Amino acid sequence: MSEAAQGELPKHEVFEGPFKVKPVYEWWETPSNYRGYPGGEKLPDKLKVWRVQKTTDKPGEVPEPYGAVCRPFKNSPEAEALVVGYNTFKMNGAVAVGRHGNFLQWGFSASPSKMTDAGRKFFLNCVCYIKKSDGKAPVSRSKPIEWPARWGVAHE
Amino acid sequence: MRRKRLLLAATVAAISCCLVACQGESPKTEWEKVGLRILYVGYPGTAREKDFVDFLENHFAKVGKGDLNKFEVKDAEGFDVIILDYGGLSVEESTIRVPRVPFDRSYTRPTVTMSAVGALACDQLGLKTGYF
Repeated sequence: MSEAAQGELPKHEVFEGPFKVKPVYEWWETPSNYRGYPGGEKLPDKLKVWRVQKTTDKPGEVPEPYGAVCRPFKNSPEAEALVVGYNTFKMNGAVAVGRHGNFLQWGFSASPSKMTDAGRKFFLNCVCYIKKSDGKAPVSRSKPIEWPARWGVAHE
Repeated sequence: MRRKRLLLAATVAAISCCLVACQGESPKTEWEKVGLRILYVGYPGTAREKDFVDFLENHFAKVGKGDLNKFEVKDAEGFDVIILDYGGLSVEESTIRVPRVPFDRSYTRPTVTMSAVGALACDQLGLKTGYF
């Protein structure tokens, strides 16, 4: 995943407090990988994004350590997508920061000194927000990935 | 006249109360600490750990540190939120190392997982936020 979240902030308390998140928006070219997914051909040439972190000046660059997006999913009482990630490998709408039960996955990778002001405040708010899910373990679970042999995966 | 003064005083008091109440709900500035106890669990001695812990200490009432390789559920006692920072993806001899998930599905503490490795951990737990 890149260093940016995609789209305008949705209306959600996690952007309001305790620290007010004020993104600085930019327009980046629509990643070519989006075009290969359903609806991708209808996307505009550029998409509105805001940087959550900045380790490089290049738009769309995938920095190390790697971040990740997860599949788009519909919001429900136990799971919610908080921001979509601008990514150059997967589909439009893949989730960069989301909550499922008592877990909040922060898909970006930089440490705070490399986050933008908006990114730092969003991270702090996420830490505060997940406290509200204390004791609320996910009810629905999916089967973990069965990795193809070619991937070479080892469990620690 | 006296009644008017009393009415004026009551109005001023009511407005003051409203202002105080509103201030209590306003977003915090960066230097106000949040009254939560945070446990950051990562890799001890790394610059990344220091960066996170320094940052968190500036914003939360209490911040503890833990070692991801040794973390156990009981270490989370006394903390409100646990941050599991798996750092970078580990690839050794063309093999992706899937992280150790230090708890089972009965775990219910508020937890933040981070980056691509965090997504792998989420996948191991069968979460919608898992790697794909």
